[in-house]
Amino acid sequence: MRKMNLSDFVILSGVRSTKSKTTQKASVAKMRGLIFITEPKSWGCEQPHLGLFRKGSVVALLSAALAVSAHAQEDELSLQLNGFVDSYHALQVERPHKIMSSRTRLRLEMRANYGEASLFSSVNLAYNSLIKEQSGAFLREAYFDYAGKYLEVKAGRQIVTWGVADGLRITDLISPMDYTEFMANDYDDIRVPVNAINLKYPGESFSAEVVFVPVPEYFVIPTNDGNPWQMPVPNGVRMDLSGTPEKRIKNSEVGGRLRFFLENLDFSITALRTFNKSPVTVMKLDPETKSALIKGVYKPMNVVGGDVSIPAGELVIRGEAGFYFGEPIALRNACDFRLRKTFNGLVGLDWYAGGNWTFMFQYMHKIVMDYRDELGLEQNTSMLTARISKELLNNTLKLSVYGMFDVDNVGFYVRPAGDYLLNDQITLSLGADILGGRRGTFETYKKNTQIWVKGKFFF
Amino acid sequence: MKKFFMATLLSASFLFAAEPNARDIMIKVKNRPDGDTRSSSMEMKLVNKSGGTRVRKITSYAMDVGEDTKTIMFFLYPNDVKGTGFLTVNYDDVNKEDDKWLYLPALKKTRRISGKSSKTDYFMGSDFTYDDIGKRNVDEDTHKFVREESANGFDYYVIESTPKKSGEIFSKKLVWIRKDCDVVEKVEFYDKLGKLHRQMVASDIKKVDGFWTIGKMVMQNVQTGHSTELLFLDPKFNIQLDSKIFSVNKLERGL
Repeated sequence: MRKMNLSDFVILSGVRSTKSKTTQKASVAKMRGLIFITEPKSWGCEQPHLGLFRKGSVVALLSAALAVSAHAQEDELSLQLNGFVDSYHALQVERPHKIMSSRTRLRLEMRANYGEASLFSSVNLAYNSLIKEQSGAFLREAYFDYAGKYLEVKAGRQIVTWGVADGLRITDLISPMDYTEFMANDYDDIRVPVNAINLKYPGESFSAEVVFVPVPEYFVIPTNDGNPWQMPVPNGVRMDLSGTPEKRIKNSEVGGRLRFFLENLDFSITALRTFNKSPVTVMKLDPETKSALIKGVYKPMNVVGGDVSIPAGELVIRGEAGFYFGEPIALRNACDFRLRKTFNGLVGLDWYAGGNWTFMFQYMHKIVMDYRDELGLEQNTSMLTARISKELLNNTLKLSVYGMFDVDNVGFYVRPAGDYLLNDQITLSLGADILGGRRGTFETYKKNTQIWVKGKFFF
Repeated sequence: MKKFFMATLLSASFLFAAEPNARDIMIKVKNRPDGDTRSSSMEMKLVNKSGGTRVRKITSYAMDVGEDTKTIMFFLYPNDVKGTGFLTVNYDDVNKEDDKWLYLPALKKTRRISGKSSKTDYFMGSDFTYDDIGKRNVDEDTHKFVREESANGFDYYVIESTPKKSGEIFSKKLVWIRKDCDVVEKVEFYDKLGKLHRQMVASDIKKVDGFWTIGKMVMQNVQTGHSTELLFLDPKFNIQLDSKIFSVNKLERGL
């Protein structure tokens, strides 16, 4: 993999630590300030090791257990155990044809229902032959759930998803992204769960919810030496992304959302006090080593936005928008940053064409307000995505292609895939990740273009 | 009561008609009493030409709101689709598109989907389209009385229905309706070339809680050899249902 120069960092906000060889929480996520893309798969996942359960999770679960045990004695306890085993292997297309990923995992999902209350947990038991830190037992989600007539409570480690964008993030900012293995995981592995309390009023065509995250989670980026998706950094440069905000109440995250589901129209309004979870990186001089240091910057910011979905014949028109107040943007010289108000908008078109064909197109645009030339981000940046799928052979074979085009960097990512249902339990998949372009993240990973196979057994 | 009144009037009109009116018969079938609310578990067995089988299990709830119907379905099996939910509001007005939402547990997201789209697509890889398992509006087709028939101890109306709009997967269908209970017992679907494409046969027709009910439907694609057996298990009518279960919130929570 080629090493990057300083300008690449300005462009990518991509970072790697020389201090820690383990995966870090940080950002590889911005391409010239665009909010990164997520859906087709992720870059792996930093999950809490079972031996390292966070206190918050334990307290939440204990509280939940007490709540369940105190709940309606006449209700019967029911237990469900589900899960899957999957094995994924990827090979670099160009020489030296190295193994890009090789991992096998057992996912266990357990749910205990007791009347209107339940406890849910999901655990990964994984073996990763390339990234040793990804082998072991990891807790993914663990939460208590109560569904009352007027109030629903979900407390514990959970994934929060907002918005209607497909694979792009505008208002969907609470659960950050995990880019450990670039684009090799399933969608549900991309999202990093957060320890949160979610309170919701569940109406028939309206719902209102409040989410409180005492300690926010931040992006995870690939830094392991054995990881082919490791973010390259210039020689002699150290990276320090440890500056995430202190675990204090003033650094907590809180948001609210109102959702409406009407005839021919869905819409929601959101407000969120959060952070730029994908850090801006600035260059500093390391006083200890007198060498260059890349420092991650995380700042609080407020977000106001919403989304809309309108069905129209065979089409569904989607839109999502968010104003970010106080988003940090690195300067062109990468030595500092400025806080700016930005507008992030998306328009999507889904066409359900019949015959099991689906077409989905999106255009996303970001505008930096109060723009100055010193900023290391263009005032207007944009991204296009397309997803086309067709199901064949009585829905046993699904052929799909997902593509992203980074307009400003003329970069692209294309993922053709075929999924075949061998029977009710086993799915076999074959696909490729094709990356390229002139600049930006996709160009950086051009040599990582790969083919992959995956088998998945559900139980 | 309203449905019963309408059915009585329609029945009376047949006594004086020389030839039954095909649309009236189809209206009568559509308005056959089935309670204001109902629930059922469905088990689908998909059989391919070489005998390989796949199974799908679903639980569904439905509620009539005036002339419209709300339905919510939860997929229980196989496990790769477990937790997937499908919410629809079927409007009686032929000019109004249905409202539809699909919840995908892997994405933890609900998608608003086109009301028009999936009607002609096959449901979960089966030989039934979404239209077949839902309530197709009577006025989406032109109906023609073909003949009366007697077989297996029952009398039938045979109706030919032709779609008014293009874009349907059938060019016409022949429908056999049992006179004694207004239940569709057999349907033949013809493709755009006029060749027999699919054939549906209903059986285990019986009264449950005072309502005529189909226990089993078999749809065979005679062109591909693929077939689907659909069993309706534990049907219930006029059950207590909170209208809130027909909501996106419930869709996302699951059963």
